[in-house]
Amino acid sequence: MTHTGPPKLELVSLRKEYDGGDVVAVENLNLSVQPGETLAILGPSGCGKSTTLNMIVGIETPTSGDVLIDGVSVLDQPAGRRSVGLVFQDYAVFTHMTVAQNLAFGLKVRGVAKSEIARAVGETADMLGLTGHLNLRADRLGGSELQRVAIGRTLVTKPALLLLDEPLSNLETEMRAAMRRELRRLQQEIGLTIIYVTHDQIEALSLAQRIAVMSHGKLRQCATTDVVYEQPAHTFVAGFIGAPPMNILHGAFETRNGESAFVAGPVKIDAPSGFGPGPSHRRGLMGVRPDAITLAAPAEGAATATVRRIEPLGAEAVLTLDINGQHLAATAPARNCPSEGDHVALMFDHDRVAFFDADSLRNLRDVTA
Amino acid sequence: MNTRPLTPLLALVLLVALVVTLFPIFWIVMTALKPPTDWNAAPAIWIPSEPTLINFLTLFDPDAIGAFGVGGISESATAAVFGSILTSTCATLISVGIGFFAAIGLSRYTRVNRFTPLFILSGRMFPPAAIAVPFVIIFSAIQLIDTYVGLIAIYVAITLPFATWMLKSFVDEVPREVEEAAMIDGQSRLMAHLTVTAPLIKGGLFATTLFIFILNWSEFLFALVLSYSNIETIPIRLAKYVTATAGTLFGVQAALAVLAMAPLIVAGFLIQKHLARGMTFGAVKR
Repeated sequence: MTHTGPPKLELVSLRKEYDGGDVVAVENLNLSVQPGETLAILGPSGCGKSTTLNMIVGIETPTSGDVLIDGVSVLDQPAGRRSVGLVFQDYAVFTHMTVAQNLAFGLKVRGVAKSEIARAVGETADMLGLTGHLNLRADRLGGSELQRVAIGRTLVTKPALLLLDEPLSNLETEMRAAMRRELRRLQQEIGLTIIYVTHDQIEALSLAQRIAVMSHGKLRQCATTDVVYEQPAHTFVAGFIGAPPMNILHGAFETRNGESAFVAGPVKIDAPSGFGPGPSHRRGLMGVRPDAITLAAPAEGAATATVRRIEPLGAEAVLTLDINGQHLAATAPARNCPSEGDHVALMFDHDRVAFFDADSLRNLRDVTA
Repeated sequence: MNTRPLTPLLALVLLVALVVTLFPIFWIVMTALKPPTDWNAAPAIWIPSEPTLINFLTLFDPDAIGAFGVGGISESATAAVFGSILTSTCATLISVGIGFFAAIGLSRYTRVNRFTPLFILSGRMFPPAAIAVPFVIIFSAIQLIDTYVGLIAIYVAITLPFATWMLKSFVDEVPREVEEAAMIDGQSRLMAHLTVTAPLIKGGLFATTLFIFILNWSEFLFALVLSYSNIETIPIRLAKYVTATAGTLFGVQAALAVLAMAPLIVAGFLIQKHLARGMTFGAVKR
C-alpha cells in the first residue's frame, strides 16, 4: 500500500449486465477522475451509480470494460488489494463489535502491528469525535455515530481512492451540514481522490469540483458544476439538476435574413446561426433556468405570460407562468412579486439559455461543436 | 410485546393447557421413582410411597434391581447413552456446519430462483418409513449398517434441509454490505462469512443447533432399522426393557426416559431465549 499522492482513476467502456443481459445496470461508461479531484456522481435511484462504485472497489466484476488506477488495470485484483475504500450508504458497520474493533478491523486483516493499530484507531477516533464511544458496541450507536464509524473504518486504512455511497443520506439536516464540513476538511487535509455518489444536488454542488450525471445506466454529462447547471448536455440533466428544474420550451428554429432565432409561441430568442439549418423549420427545445427569467410590466413586442400560481419560499417566490399553454417556472423577489392572474412580460438572460435537439434531447452546443 | 391482563377465563385456559402438557412429564418422573411393586399397582399410585433411585441405578448396573426380586436385564444403558450423545452431537455439528454454508450460498450466490431452495426440502416430502428399508439395503451393501458413521450420515441427510432453511432465514437478515465491507478491508469471501456473517447470526446458529439436536436425539425409526448389535441409541434402548419373567420394566424404562428428556427440556428453554433474540438482532440499519 505504498502510493505517492492521490491516484488517477479511469473507467473505460465499463458495462455491467445482470440476468444474462436482461438488465443493463451500467452501459458504456467512460469517465476519468483526476488525482486529488472530488467528483460527484448524481442520479436518481437505479441509475447505476452504486453498481459503478462496486465495480471500482471490486465487489462486482464488470461484464466488459476496464477500471484503471494510475493507468494500471485493477480488475484482476480482489477488493482488498486496490487501495480503494468504500463507505456504504447503510453504514455496514459490524454491529457485533465495539467501535474500536470496527475501526481496527481493516488494519487487523492487513496484519498491521498491534501498537500501530492502537495509534491509528486513536487518531481516527479523535478526528471523528468517536473517542468517547470506542468501547461501546456498535449496535448501541445512533445514526450519525454509525455514519462516522463507517467513514472512520474506511479512512483508518488510508485508501488512496475514497468512494462514498450516499454517506449522509441517513442523517438529519443539521448533522448532515456538519458532516459535509467535516468531509470538506478531510478532503483538504488528506488530499484524497474522492468519488461521491449522491442524489442530493446541494451535497454534490458543495463538495465536488465536477459532477457526473447518470440515468438508466448511462453517463449523461460530466463537467464542472456551473457547466452542468447552465448548459446541461441532455434534457434529463436539465430536469434533474436544480429545484425547480430548468424550464423546457418546445418550439422551432427559424432563419430569416440570415439571422437565426428560436421561436416558441410569443417567445423569440436569438440562436447561434448553426442551430437553424437553412430556411427550413427545425423543431427544437429551449432550456432556461427559473432564475434566468426576469419579469417586467407587459410591453409592446415582449413575450407575455399569465401568472398561474405563486409559491413563496422566504426571500424568493417561485411563479408558475402560462405562456401559450406551456408552463414555465420563474423566480422573483418575494417582496416585489406580481399576483395570480397578472400578465407579465418575460425577459430571458440570453447568455443563460440552452438549446436541445428535439429528437436526441441533447444540447445542440455539443452536437454542432 | 404487549401483555394482556390475566382474566379468569384466560387463567383457566392456561391452567388446563399447563396440566395437559405437564401431566405426562409428572407421570414419567413419578414412575421413575417408584419401586417395582408400585409400577402397575391398581388403583394407580400417584406419588410413590417410598421414592427410590433403584431404577436409575439399574440403567447402568443391570443387577441392582435384583434386590427387588426382578431380574433378566442383560445390558447396561451406558452404550445407548454414549451412542445417542455421539450420533446426535456429530450429526448436529455436521448438519449445522454444512447448512451454514448452504444457507449463505442460497441467500447470497443464487439469483432469485424459487426451485433450488424448495428442491432441498423435497427430501422431506416422503415419509421416513418409505426410505428406511431401501437405506437398510444400501447401507448393507456399502457396509455402513450397524455403524455410527452410517447413522450419523443418515441423520445429517435428514436434518440438513431444516438446518439450511432455518439458517437461510437468518442469513437473509444480514445485509450483504457488511460482508462486502469486510472484503474491501482485505478479507476473502470465506473469511468475511466466518468473521462477520457467523457472529451476526449467532443467536440463529444456536437456535438451529438446538433444534437439529432435538430432532437427532429423539429419532427412532432409522436408529432401529440401521442398528443390530454394535450401535445403540437411547430411543432404541427404551424399547428393550421387556423381560420374560417380569414383563415390561416400567420403572427402569421411565428412568431412562427421564434421562433422555432432561437435555431436551434444557435445550427447549435455551432455544426459546435464543429464538427471540435471534429474530431481533437486526441492529444493522436497513
